[in-house]
Amino acid sequence: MLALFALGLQSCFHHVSRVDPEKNIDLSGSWNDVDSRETSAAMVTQALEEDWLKNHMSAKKEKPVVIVGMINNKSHEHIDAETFMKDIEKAFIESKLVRLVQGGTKREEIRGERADQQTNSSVSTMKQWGLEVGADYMMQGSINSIVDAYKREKVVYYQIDLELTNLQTNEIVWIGDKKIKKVVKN
Amino acid sequence: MKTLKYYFAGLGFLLTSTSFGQDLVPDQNPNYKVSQDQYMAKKEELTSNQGVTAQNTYVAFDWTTHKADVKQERIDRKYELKKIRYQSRCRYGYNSGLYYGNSYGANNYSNFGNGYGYNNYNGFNGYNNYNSVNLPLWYSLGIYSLLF
Repeated sequence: MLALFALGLQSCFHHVSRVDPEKNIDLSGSWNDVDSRETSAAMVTQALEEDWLKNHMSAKKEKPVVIVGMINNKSHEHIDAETFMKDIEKAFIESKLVRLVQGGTKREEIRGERADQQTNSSVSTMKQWGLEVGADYMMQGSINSIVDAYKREKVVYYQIDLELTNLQTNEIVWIGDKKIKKVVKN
Repeated sequence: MKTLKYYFAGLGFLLTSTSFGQDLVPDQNPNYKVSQDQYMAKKEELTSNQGVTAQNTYVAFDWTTHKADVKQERIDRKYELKKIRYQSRCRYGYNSGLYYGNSYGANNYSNFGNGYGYNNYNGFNGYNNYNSVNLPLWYSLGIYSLLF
């Protein structure tokens, strides 16, 4: 009897259940996985369906090469853009319409490995310097938010903007955005 | 000889200017090298943040968090005041015995030791000085650790 009671008591304290990652769960009203997923879905649709891609293909006769730059989070919450940026990158690769090149610290790591190969790999497998693919466009972005709060109620508005800039001409060829508005009652 | 020197200098200038001219594509700014040198010098710094989310967040006003902050401030203030009160009691020595009873004897003992040279006689001078100076502090710290 006591053991059963203890078991029951224990189950009240700690409980873990697995849910579908696609399931929408909102708890505090802060930025969460649902927002990230909605943002990536909207951005992928906009990026792959708008004119910049057709214009590039008709002018250059080859797929555009994109590098991801910095995302500036200017909102009131800590948001890591990598969650939706990776979804966008994945969609680019899977669509076979856009090519991606590595940037930042990951590229540094690649170059470090290439440097290591110059002294440790066999000549037939050693990779050469100066043969990387140069990007045509850089994708940069920003996250902004506006909070309007009164007593126990608040309205939070997020605006996520991504833009593609031509590296040769500095011309912005595409801007995608996603707007999210939430009403939170405490 | 002098004419030959001028001839070679002119030829050198002509070759340099021609090769520089060949670098330019149509409509390219001839001063591009100024910018190129400037950015080549700091390219690593400029590309290190690629793929990174820079966090330039701000603090938004929220009624509930504001309320909680005010409450916490009040608790902290009360705690500080309590602490000061205890410290001042300890400094004047009337906490011992009056409130907790256990340090009464010790204080008296140390005072006695210092006043009458009892400790010098027994060779425990250091021990009793330690008691007389720091005992209230040690007791008060013990009380705080028990209370909070």
